[in-house]
Amino acid sequence: MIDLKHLPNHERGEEAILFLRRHWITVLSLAFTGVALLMVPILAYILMRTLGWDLMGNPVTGAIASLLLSSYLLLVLVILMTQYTDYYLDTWIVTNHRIINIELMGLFSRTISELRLNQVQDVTSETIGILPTFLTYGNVYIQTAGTRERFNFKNVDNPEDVKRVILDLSNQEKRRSGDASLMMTPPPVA
Amino acid sequence: MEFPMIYLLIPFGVVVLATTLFVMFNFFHIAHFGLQGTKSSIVLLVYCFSFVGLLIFITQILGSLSWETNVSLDWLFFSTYLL
Repeated sequence: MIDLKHLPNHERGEEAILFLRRHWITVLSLAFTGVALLMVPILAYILMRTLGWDLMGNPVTGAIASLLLSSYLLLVLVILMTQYTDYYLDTWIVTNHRIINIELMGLFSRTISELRLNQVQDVTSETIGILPTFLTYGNVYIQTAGTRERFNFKNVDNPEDVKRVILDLSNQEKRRSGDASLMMTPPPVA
Repeated sequence: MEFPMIYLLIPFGVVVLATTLFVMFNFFHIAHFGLQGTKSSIVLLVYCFSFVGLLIFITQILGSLSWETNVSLDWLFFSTYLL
């Protein structure tokens, strides 16, 4: 279950309706990257054997090669961990009151932005490409009135369903608390 | 100029230290900002096991080598061993 207490401005009676991350294909591509990076020292070893370089035959070159290999493996682990942390912490939460966008930019920068559901003016879902069509993932764009930047849900699963849920929740919230998207519309230019 | 090969472990120690720091940053982020209790715990366990597992693997590789041999700077930088 999602623990919303860690979120800022947690409201009484607020419930998480959708909890979204990027599609699992992102994790799969990360796994492929990991395998490819782990293949590099194996291929290098095979190449050296083919060329007749026996690094491990000499104690000094063997030690240096082992240190380089160890450093490389540690580096690969850190890269994979950082990428996965980035995937894991980039989340979009739709509650019965608002939409929250949490983005981790590198390890030292985190952005949380939120949008009231009654400010939503337009929701667009987009699925482009062969793989996204077969695996049903894509982007969802949420537009509000005014100059505010739109919210982008990138590569989420079932973008059509997400769009429908957001529109339903937005309509409910507008009936309950008034349509803030109309109040925010800038006046027409004469 | 000659020095024992064990000195090569000093820069490697710096690499291990930097890696540990980054792993800890990742660990902290998931522990602090991860919103799904059980899932975050599993991710943290995987992080711990993979890091500790890799350290054990590296210790076994490096432990099997002899670090008492002396190596000269000339040999290290101007060796024609591979040529």
